[in-house]
Amino acid sequence: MKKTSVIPAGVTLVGDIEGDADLVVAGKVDGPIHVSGALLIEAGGQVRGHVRARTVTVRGVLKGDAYGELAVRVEESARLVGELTAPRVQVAVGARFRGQVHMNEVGEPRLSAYDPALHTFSGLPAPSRQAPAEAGVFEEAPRTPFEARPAEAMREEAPRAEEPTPAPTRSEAADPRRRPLRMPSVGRVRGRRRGGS
Amino acid sequence: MTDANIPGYLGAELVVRGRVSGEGDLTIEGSFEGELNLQGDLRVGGRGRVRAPVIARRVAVEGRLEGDVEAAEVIVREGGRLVGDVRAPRVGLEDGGALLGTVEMDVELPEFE
Repeated sequence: MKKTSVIPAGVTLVGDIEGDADLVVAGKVDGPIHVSGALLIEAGGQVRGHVRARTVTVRGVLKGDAYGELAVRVEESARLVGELTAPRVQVAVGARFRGQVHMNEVGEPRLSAYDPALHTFSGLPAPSRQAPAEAGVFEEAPRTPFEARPAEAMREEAPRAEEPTPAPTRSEAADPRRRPLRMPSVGRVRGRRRGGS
Repeated sequence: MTDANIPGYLGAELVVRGRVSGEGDLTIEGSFEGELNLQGDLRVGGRGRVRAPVIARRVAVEGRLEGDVEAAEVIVREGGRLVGDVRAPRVGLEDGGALLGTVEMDVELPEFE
């Protein structure tokens, strides 16, 4: 079991977080978060930026969109301005919430890859394009995309000898467009058969 | 349930960029690039890779830290590597640790006769 990462109360990060981990935010994060595990914005925690995780639970403040691969849960103590996108979305009575809810149904694209070109995940249109009339609601939320390249560059800089080579990031593994197509070479097979007979 | 006293921790799987400030303690086992300004303690764990100027109360380096450090106490532990200048009244370099940089400390020397 991996140890859960924590931005503790009293600590502020202006920047972004990404990785294959669970994360609890009890302090403040001004920037996007993308983790493959569970993300919990604790009561007292504040995030300004889009967040994406397997499950997103909000007990504190979120100004930005929440993408949950499995679920997004907004608890009673939460204050949230942004869009919620997940196959399962729960909003507790008492939560302060302004924004749209998108429930993925079967057949819709899975939230599996972040597309920096669209500044969004999985090829779903960016929220601002999707609902231009309500763009004002999201005006203050940053639209900073995750920068995949610098993160990879940082990993490469770390010495390899002491740690196993990092597994391909989720987006690389999940993105079928990155895999080269391999076609069987028919001509070569034929040639071999001729030579044998 | 997390409470206010839970220590800060950035796991080895995380890549964090930006500016961190605040009063809590923080342990970094992942990759961090940016700026660290803590009133609490910073520990760069054995798997931690930090590239940032650091201001903190106490700093312990078990992994790699690249950047100038200002603290009340700096300790580079075995296997740790600190590349940068250090300004601290207490500096420790353990056997097997590496410190590449200048240590700045106010040193009072006795008058030479």
